[in-house]
Amino acid sequence: MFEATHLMLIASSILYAVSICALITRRNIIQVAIALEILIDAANMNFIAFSNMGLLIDPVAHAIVITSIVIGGCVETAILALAVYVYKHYRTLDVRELHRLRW
Amino acid sequence: MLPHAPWLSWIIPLVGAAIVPLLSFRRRLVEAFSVIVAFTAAAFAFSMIPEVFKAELPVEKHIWLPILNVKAGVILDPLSIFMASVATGIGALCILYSIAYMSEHPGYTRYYSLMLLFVGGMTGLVMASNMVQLYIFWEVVGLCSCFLIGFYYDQEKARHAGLKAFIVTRVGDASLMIGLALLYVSTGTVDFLQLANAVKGIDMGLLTITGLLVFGGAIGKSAQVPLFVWLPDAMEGPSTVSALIHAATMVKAGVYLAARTFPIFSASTTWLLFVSWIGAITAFMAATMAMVSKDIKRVLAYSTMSQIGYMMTAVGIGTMAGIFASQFHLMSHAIFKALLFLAAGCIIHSIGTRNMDEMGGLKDVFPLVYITFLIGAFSLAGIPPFNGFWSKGLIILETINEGFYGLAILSSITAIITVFYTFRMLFLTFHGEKSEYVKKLKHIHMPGITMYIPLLVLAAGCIISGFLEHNFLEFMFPHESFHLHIPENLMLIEYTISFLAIVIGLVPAYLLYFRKTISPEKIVKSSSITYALYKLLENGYFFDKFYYSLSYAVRDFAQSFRKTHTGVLSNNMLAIVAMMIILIILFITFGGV
Repeated sequence: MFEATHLMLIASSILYAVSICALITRRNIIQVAIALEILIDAANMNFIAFSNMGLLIDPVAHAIVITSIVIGGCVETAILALAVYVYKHYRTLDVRELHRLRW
Repeated sequence: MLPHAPWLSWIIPLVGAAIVPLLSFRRRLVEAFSVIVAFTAAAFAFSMIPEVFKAELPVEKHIWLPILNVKAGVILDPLSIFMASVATGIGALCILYSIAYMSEHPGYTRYYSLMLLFVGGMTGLVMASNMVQLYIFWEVVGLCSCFLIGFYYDQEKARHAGLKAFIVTRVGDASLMIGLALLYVSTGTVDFLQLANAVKGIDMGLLTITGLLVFGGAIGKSAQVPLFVWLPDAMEGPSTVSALIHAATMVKAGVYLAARTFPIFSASTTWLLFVSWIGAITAFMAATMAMVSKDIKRVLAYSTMSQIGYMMTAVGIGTMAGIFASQFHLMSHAIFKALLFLAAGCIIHSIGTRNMDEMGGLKDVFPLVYITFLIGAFSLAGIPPFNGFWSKGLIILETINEGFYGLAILSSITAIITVFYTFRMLFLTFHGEKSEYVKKLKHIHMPGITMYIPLLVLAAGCIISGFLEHNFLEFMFPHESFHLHIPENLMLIEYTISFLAIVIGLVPAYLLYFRKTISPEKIVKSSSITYALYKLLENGYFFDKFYYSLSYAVRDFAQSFRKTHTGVLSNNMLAIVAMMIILIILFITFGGV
């Protein structure tokens, strides 16, 4: 059981690092949205990993993760809706072009 | 006492303020409702006065905020009952006067709602039995003043003045809040009655610092040096609002706070000295600024600062007689300043200007306003037998009696200047030739009957209240056989000072502005020193300029960070990750993991 926790933590760290790298380097909004989804999954996986630590499996962590998945879905929807409007407006999906509100 | 008067005297106006917007479909309904609510609240407040003479004053408490061990309650003692009566009484008269004054403005719902909230907030402030409750109402009063000063929000100046009042008093409020937190941490209670005993054990240095921080709130609210810059600008609001702010609600809150916390901090002589000197310096500086102002309402605003300074001086003397003198002067000032503002409001409402150069010769146009204004001006100048003479004299007397000769000299000089600027205002406005502006006015809009009633009531108050010193003394100290021990010869000195002040102040004002034998412009231009002095006074000792340059400096400093906001998502993420790494390193190094 302890092994499984370790493996999950390592996997979640890798996912986290990947998503952060993607958020920094990618310019396409769709790719940013995917990176954000991976970020959320990394956090969820962390929750699941630590719920396994004791003698019993903690159900509260699972409940939170399910809630988190739902919220993550909503966030994704919002980003994708945003992406559609950004494309309509600017005719591009490059995030560097979205600086109309900058000084 | 009417049932539950200590609670209802402030809950009624607050609830009334909430109901006013529901009645906004008819102007007459809003006006009638507001007047009825204000007078009901005043009736409740005045009904508490006989309670003072009963053996034991009831203090009603209800549990609230159990974590902080705070009980919401009302404190019933002569101080709070007196302040509640002043706030609701003057407030009711101002609202009655507003019917005619605001009869043409379409924003009547907002106006009456805020006025009732203002009166209710102030009454709640003075009835509060603990610091937390006081602080809440303190903020309510601040908010109302901001909105009412900026009432004519279509004018840039008015908006700016409202915001300025809010931000400048916020400096004081922050200081008050820190003071309250310190007080709570060091004593474990916020209740006024318990605090007076609870502070006996704590360190004197801590007590002084706490006291000064709490007094910082009073400096902001009562427009004392150095946080006075908002009050002259606050004249952008309607005259009724100025009357309410100056006579009953806003600036009196600071004096109330100083008097209320007096039993807590009076052990610290530094605190007392600070309070009295801030008061005396403000009194002097404000009076000098009033000498050169051209705007009739600004002169009145500076005179308020000056009179509040007198009250602070009296509190800082550190005796119960001093507290009594400050409260007595507060009552006189509330009456005559409300009268002066409402009378000035009549003129401004009728001829549509506040500049005294554009007035002159108005005593034939508004005879009744002239007489009432004259009574108010005599009270302000301290001419016997009007109330200002007795109360201001008492303060100067107390400073001499307790041996504070520096304060006494500064206060006496201020009294001379007060006489000068009062008569300057009176002569410029009502006497002499009519200005070109007045001559050109075809139709002068005469004040209505509802504007005269408050004027006459207040004028009667000016004449009567000065003679009620002994009754007021009995009221303030009902259970102690408290007497003002004043030697006969001191009384004589004080009368001499008063009469000398009147003569020294009146003669130059008469020559300069009534006979016009000497031109004031010539004196100003006679040498570079007088010109520099004039500029210094006209600019309010450059406090305003200093604060503005300070705020511009802060703004420019913040602007310099603008370049870092690139708006590119990748850069923002990079910054987040960098900060995260720094935090992790810090946590590993110092977190003890």
